[in-house]
Amino acid sequence: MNGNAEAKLIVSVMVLSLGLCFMAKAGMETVWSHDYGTDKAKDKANLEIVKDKLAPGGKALRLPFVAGSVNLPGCNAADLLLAGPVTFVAHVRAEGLIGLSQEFSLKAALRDQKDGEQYEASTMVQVTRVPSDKYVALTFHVGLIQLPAEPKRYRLSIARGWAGEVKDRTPVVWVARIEMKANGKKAAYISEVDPDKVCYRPGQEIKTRVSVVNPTETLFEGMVIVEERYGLETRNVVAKQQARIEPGKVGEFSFSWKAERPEAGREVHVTLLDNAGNPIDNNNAYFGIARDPSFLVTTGQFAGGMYPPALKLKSQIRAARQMKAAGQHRGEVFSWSYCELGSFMPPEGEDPYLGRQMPTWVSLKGMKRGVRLMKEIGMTPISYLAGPAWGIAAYELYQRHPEWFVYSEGGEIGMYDMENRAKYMRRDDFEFVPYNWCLFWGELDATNPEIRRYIADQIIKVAKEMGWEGGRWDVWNMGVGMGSRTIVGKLIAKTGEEADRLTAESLRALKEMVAKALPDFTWGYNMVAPERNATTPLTMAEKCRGGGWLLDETVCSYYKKTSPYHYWAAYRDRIIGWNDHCRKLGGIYNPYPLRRGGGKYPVDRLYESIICQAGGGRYGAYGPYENEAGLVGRIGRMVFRYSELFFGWNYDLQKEDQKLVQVDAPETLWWKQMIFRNKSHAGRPQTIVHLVNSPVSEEVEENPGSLVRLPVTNVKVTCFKDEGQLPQKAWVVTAEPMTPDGEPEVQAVPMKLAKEKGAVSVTVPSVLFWKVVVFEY
Amino acid sequence: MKRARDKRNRITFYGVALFLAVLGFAFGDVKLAEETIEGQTAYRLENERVSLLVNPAQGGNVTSFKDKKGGSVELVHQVPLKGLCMDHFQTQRWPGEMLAAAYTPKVIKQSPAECVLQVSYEVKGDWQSASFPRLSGLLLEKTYTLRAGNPVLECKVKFTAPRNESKLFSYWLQNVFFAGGQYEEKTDVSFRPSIRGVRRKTLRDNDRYGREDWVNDFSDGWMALLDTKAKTGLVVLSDYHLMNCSYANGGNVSLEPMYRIQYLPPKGSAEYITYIVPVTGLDNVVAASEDYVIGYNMQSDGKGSGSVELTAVRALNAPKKLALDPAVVSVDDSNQVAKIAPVVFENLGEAPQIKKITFAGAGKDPLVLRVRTTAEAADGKTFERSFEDYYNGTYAWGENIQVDMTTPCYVGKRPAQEMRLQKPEVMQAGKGGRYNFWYGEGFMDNMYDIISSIRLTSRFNEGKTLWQRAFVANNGAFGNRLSAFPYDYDELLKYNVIILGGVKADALNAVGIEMLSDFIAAGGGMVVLGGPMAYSFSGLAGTKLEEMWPVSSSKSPFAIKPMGDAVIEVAEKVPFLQDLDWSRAPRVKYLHAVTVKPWGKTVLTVAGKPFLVIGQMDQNKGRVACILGAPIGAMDRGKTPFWEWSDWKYLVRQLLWWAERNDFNF
Repeated sequence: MNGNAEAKLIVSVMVLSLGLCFMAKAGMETVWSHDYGTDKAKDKANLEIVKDKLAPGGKALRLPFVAGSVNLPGCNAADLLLAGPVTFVAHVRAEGLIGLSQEFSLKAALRDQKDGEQYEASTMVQVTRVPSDKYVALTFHVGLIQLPAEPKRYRLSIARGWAGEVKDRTPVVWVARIEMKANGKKAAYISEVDPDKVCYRPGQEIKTRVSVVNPTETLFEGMVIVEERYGLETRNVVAKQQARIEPGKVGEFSFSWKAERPEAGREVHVTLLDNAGNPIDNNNAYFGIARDPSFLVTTGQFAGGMYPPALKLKSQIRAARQMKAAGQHRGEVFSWSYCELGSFMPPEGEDPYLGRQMPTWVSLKGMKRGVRLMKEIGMTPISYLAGPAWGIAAYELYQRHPEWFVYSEGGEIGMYDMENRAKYMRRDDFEFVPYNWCLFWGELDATNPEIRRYIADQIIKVAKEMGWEGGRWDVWNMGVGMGSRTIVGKLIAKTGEEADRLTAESLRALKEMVAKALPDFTWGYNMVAPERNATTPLTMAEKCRGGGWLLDETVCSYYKKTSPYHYWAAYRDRIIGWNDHCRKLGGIYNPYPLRRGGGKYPVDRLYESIICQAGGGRYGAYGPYENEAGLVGRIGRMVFRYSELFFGWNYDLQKEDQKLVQVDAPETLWWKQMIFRNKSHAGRPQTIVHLVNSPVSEEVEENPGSLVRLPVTNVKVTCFKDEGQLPQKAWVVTAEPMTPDGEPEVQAVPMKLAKEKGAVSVTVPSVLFWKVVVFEY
Repeated sequence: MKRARDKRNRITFYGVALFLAVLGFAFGDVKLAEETIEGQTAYRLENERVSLLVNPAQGGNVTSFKDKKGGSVELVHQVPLKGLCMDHFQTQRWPGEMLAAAYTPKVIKQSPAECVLQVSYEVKGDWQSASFPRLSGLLLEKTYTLRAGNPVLECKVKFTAPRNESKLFSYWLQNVFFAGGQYEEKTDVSFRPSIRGVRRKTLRDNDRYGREDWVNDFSDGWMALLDTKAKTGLVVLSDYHLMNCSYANGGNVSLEPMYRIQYLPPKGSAEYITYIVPVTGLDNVVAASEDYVIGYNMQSDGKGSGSVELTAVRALNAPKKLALDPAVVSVDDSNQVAKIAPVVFENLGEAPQIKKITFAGAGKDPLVLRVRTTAEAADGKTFERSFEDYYNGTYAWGENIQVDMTTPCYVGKRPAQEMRLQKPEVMQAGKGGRYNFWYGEGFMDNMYDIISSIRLTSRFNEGKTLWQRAFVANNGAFGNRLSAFPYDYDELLKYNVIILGGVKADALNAVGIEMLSDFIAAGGGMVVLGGPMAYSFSGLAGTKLEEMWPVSSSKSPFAIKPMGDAVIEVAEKVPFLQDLDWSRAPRVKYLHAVTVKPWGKTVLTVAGKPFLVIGQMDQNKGRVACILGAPIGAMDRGKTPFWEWSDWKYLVRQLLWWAERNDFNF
């Protein structure tokens, strides 16, 4: 398959990906349902239909805890003719569940009866939302099914799953009824809104395709209006088109407009008007505009599906689809190269090549395709840069230039394994089995101009040939170690201060060399924790300069009892405080999750996510904790949509004894350590107050049930004058419901300001987990 | 539930103690009695502290062990192949021929003060269809001694080679048991000393270093496995100087000293002494010796002040006085030392004694606790030792590791191990015939293309010619190692020439250095290659091996000089330089700076400096050639690096002939 043909395939598949809001749309109707009140099915496989006075139909499916997954009786159907968005609503009550524990889930699957493609949606049942004494309608929140725009026939199945360990309690979930909602045949509807990229650089053309289905038996005539929304108030109509769609047909409408600053996350909101100008449907999607898409990361940073060795076309396309659907902006690929600084690229014609840190056969073609796919959907592909030179190319580089490498005080060099070298030389033998560690690695002397030039050329070459738009250093980043020496024993840096200065100088020089060839190439780093930088202020400043991506891996060990930061309050202040420091130096802070994958329990992942994002950080590595079923909401989406409130360079942490804001709330509500001054896109001063219903446990990973506090209600937030001015407007920005009985929704709700003497105030109806109050002057 | 069981155990213990007191154990007797296990005779050894069963039918293992102060619970899980003092060879696939073999028992001594039981076995050298001729015929004699008034079981394992045959073996003593009597994956913790601090391991706590079943940088001969909840367990004391590795299996139910490979000449013997020390009242172990077992708990404020609580019990000996002289040192700044007043334990016994001390001015965490110990025996003799442990405290990474994920932030010094090598009575190299080469390939040595030179020396004669190549690996913080070494003198002496590339001292270790110097002393030839890890970089300067070389190098690294692509010149015409084409003017980029010994002859030079030096310490010793150029560094087009010179392989070929005294080839 040639490049163009492949690209077309990608685009056609991309039609399926969308970032729709998860609420059932107003035009949706129930197209299938099953009511256990009228079910005559007999008990089977631990699924019993029981009398239940609380159930609307008098009976419900009783699902006590039995680990595993089982299909629900009565929830199988075939020949369902469907198109566009589809979701499910389950009427449930529950007993014996605790906190945000991920114990009970419902999963619906629609399988295309012709091509077998399967689409899934699911929800958790959690005590934060579902009571025991009444049934509530629970929308399936995760993975609203977006079917292709063209109507097709599908087969339905719904399953329940119990997971985890249950001790000293017997959780039970009752399901009274399940409904499937989709657009019916009464009126035309928007089946799809599809911007072609997740992020656009300023000046690029934004292309958005809108599909409208006319399921009626009459001609549809109307108008499609496209709006771009960002910030708290901005709504710009960017395009309009007349729509004329024959009965039973799908209309495709293409829109394009130019991406313009400010750099921000955005919503493209599409309204369908009828011939009389009345809105009959709307739909939306999200995209960003940023010079560097990493600036808007809210959904993780690693391009998992693009890692070698899994580089099959099909799996890469699936990975790209998933990343686009999730709105992922940054696609970092860990340890993929031939020999890192030895030579990122394999020798001409060597495909597959034996590369990576733990040597693996890698498809060069597959790697290049993965990078291209990420760029096609607007992500920024980032190459991991381990730092040292390694592998056979580095070994050969050493042979030519032993004076380029640094040596320890004892005269030793990085590491080497001559047996692995001998094995590598026999790599073309069919019987060859890759060894488990690289054969050589060494660090280069970054102070040497000749070496800087070599490193810059390596990076320029790999960026040009592979298409990387940035590199993220890991264990070494032009570092000069105190005490390291040249081959003849000359000390490179005598003191820590000198080492810091030389490192910063070397890094800066390299960046400037690369920028001459690749002005937009971006940089990222590891080892940016304050603990690691107490004596390296110049290096830290250079890492931050110009939007450096700062992966703080030290954080992942804070779950340990030996760490002073395993207390939530200390963790919060450490993350938010250092985030502020990094931002003021121009860096983008990316604290790594506890244990790398996130804390042990859901509640740990929730508070890690809140703390990081409230501080303006980009939560790595795989995106924040989001949970609509449990009413937490899509907090990552909220941060993206209102990015000016979190990611702005003017976001300025205030000291705890600040005089700008007073909050009347119990001590368990965090706010004092989370007040910021900021400026809107329009340059208007803002005061931002984060209200966080604090963790139940003082320490991380000490809440196995993921218990949460009751919502704090009627929180009065008072804002005093700033530079002689009182706020003129206020909003509550939230992903959770405004009140506990509502649906979670990413929104900015304008608040009425109550004027007091020298101050204004708003009263926030409730804080379940995290709400943000914004005062604007 | 466990608390109730602990209480029951305590009640049981007091009940048993009372019963034994009535029976007479309070008088301190030790008893040896026969028991019948599945029709076979086993032997119970018992004193007031322990009761154990040795089963000759099961490898002479201790198949039952109860510590009466530890609740008298059975520590050996009663399933096959579990027990204490189990014999195994590292070369045989587990469980090996000895673990369940029938041993021959013999009661050596049976008195109220001391009982001695010996079991013996002649090694067959056959296991699972594999033959181990270097093991067969070894006599294993295992002698257990239990004394009255002493909690420690002594196990002495002696291997003796047959009258007419040398042997080579690697002994592995296995102690597989449940601390506290039952397996608890979280609270059964093993403790093993290493230069990174005491390695504490549970089944689950693997962390960044991986499972660490094998601790290769062990710093003392003890190992301990405790039930940290019940505060009971066993300490195994082994001979540090004989150990090669400290192993505790993944499930954390064993303490297994793995011993260094051992050569025994005909009739030669080697002995391994192990003490099994039962302990109670300790929830950790930081040091153990024949005089004491010590645990500790340390607290710091992260800024250099804190406290240390030391708990000590006796081991084999019960010192009249045990003085501990502690100091707390900052890892970041070794000059920042908090000295603490010594503490003294009087009349150390089986009941734990506790002392608490405070310190200040140690610098910020992480810290190292260093303690010098002086044990005074009843007769007034004193024994000095020391121990240390890494203390993480509030250091942010959370354990002894840097953020680069491979480098420990603290690595102490490893005490030198005594060799106690056994050697053949008569040593003569080259016993295997001609053209036998052992080649240790170090960093960059592949550039020499030694293999071509060897191939040019002679036709490979299947079954007679011996060509072996071993590789060096340097694994950062954990040092250098060789993929193989001829630790068997019989094999070593079959070689004619050893080609020693960049093999550093820690890869050879003291045994290898000794054996290679023996090899040269026995008339074996050696060609030493220059390279980035050779000579001053190798750590071999000043060793017994370097004494045999015609050059000596600096003990500090970096004695290497850039030569500006200087041309090699013939300083002295010797026969092995015949038929070489010097017209290509082979050049050198880097040259090791050495001192030529009076008996060394400089054959080739570069800019007046020695490039090739040969010599023979005396007529009985082997010939040694030292190549002092390093095959590294790029040269301008048109210049020929010496290792790329078309005749280089011929020069080395002829050098190999010279080194093995094949002068008839010239």
